[in-house]
Amino acid sequence: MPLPLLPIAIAALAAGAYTAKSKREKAAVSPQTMAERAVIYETALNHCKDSDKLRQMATVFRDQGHVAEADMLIKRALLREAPPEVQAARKEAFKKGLSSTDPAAVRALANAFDGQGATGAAGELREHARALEVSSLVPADSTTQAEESAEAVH
Amino acid sequence: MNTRMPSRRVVIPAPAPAPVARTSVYSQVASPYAAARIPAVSAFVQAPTQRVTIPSVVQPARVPAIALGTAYAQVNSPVAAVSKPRFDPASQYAVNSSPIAAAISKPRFDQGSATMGPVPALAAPVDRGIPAPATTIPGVPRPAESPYSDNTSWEEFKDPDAPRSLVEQDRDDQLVKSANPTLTPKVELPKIVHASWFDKLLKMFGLSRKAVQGAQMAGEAADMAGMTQTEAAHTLVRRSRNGDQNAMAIIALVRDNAKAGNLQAILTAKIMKQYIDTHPVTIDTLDMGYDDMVPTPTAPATDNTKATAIKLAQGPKLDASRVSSFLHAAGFGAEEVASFKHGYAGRPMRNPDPRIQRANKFGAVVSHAHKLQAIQAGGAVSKFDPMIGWELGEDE
Repeated sequence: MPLPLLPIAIAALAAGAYTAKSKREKAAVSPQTMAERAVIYETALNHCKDSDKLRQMATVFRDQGHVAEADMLIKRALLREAPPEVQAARKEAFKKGLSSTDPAAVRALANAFDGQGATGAAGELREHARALEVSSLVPADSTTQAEESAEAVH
Repeated sequence: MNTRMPSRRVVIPAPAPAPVARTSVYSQVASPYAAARIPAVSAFVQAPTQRVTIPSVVQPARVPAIALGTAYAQVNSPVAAVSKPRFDPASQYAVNSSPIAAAISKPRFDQGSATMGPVPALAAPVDRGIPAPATTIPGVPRPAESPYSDNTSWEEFKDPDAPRSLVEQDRDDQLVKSANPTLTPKVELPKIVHASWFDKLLKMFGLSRKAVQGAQMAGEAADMAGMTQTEAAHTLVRRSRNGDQNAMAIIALVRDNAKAGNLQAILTAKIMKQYIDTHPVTIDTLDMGYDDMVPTPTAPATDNTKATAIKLAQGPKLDASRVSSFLHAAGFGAEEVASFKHGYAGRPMRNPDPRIQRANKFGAVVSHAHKLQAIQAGGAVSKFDPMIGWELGEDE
């Protein structure tokens, strides 16, 4: 006796669709919750200096499905555990970046810092690159205006 | 005889892409002030060890009825992005009923008079030549000479030859079906995204295409930040001009989706293009000199301040005598010197006096230049920024 394949296929499709919908509804997060998580993440990123807490946060974020945020928090936790020579090299690179006058090179350095989790240094270098571009458009006369006036006072 | 070795197919794995930092994405909605106002975050930062649980359901706080100007600030602030109810009546009024909107939106008497009581005095024109408003009163015929009619639309009063705005074009092309698209171009996604029979079939099972999901996520992200689609597009342009890679990636995604025919992406791309055309990158060189450092108190103190500081740091060392000579040359009085000190310490002044604001910004410039000179001379990074010093391994 042939099996009634059509009802079985319809039932299987319906069950699959119901399962997919249940998973989607379970994973759905309200915008308010997303905003609060963003605040927590930003606060942990910019103000938390405890590696253990950062790892704890990374675990929670990974459990909630925020893999990129968890990876970044782990990177920040690992920042302080780098060997001293690596940390010294990073410091030297940051100082050279702030001394550089090449915006493209400074941005490349900022991207490198971003990849290592040093988001504060990366942000400062990006602002410096932007300021370099702006300052390159300033005529030299206007920048020395105050200095000339100061010299005149002396 | 074939002496060649049998060829083996060698597969070289592609390097894994570096994960993109997501910090800048959240910089629009998060700030230390917002974090400080959330007890859970403050407790997490301050408590030594604490189990952190991300809440799955957040009860939005009520936003009291506030004045319009304050409402705009609240809606656009990071705190409001967290605490503002999505459909709070006060916020909706603040967003959709600005004075400009009330001035040029469709007149109220054109929207029907079902709820109005009989107003016989207004049924006929007044002797002073003012036409009667287009009220529809049951049982009272409208005068034939009245320029208004029940079907009068605001569009009839506009010059048909006038150039249409971008959003008007999209509305006329049936891309936007908002109630007032000229003022509130925040489009409703289900009406924008083209729904084929396949989409409808998927929707019956609670599924959706990937492109539609992406568009929904973009819309939710804009909602999350409390911004309209236009504001979000403008923010993307500004962030990408500041070198934000995430913003650049989102713009590239919008471009790809627009090429693929996603109507919401096309509209967003048009908005961004219009913003770029109307807001070119301009540098006001007058703002760069020390004498004209602060034209207005509301000027952004970011790029120009640091650019001027870079120029200043390239000069001789900024010791106390040189800085005092600057102050003397600028002719600062006691109030301005106090404002300068506030600016040097990173504290803005609320006094709207341009001279006070100028002195405050001058202090910020000298402070940043001083830090730059210290860093370039091999000083500690922690003195430049304590958090960056922590990132780079310096002890506190």
